[in-house]
Amino acid sequence: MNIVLTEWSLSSYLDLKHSKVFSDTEYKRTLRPDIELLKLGWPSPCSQFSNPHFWGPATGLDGATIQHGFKMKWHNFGNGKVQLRVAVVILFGKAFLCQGYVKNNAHKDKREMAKLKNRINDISKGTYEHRGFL
Amino acid sequence: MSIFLTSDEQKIRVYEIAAQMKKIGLSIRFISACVEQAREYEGSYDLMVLWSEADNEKDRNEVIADLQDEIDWQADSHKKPLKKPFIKFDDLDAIASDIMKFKNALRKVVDRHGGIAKLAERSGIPQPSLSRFFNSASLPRRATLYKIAEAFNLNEKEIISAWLG
Repeated sequence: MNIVLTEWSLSSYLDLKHSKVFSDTEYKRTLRPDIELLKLGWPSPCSQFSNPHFWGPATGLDGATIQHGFKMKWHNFGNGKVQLRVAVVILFGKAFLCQGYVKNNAHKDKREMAKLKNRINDISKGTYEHRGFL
Repeated sequence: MSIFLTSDEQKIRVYEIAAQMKKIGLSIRFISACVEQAREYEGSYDLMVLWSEADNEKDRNEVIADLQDEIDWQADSHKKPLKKPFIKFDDLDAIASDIMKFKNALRKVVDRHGGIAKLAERSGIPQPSLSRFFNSASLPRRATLYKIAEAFNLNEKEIISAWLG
């Protein structure tokens, strides 16, 4: 499965890098290899995707699952020991990397999930910006 | 094909929240853009609900900045996927640094014209959104830059040409 880098992912990663949320080594040793597991296809053959601490469905304000939306999760990550999340949309046989963010409270997570609904609309309509493939 | 569309019942709530926003003095331009977007996009409706239900100023301000971001994303949206250049991970630090240099320079220009409060008043962009814009290394959106340029009648060539490629 192709992994599409969207403008949302680029913009958020720039900010995460600038804020030194993770190092280059952490990106190369952990983040990128974890995300690249999506290349193996969907539903994923990897057992990690059954682990709710690693991967889970996106959920909306009412707790309902957001169709096509998922979160990849890292716990106590980087020097700041943060809860890092990457929102992923799986649609049209591709994985679209959307915003990465630090989940520092429940309100932040709800806001990001609200934005993810908009991302899914834009991806489904084709009105998104594409930065190549991972 | 949109998947998360705002329902009729949610649209009524959008107007109620817009009235709350007006009561606390948010700009009409901002509220109007929020309503316009939240009438269609359920995610923006959710953000308005989160604003309405937030129990502290910090959370409310974060939502306001999110809503402005969504408004500017939509203003820049294209009718089909727009392919932009691939950027290598190893180049991200340099790009983030360039973005911050650009934003710091722009901030100085804004300060010379009366500062953030004046920019908020003239552009209709709420202050929390401007604060996020100037302090984050995220890519500046064309729509945001145009609003800033318009507010102070800034020279487009000098202020935004580097980001319009």
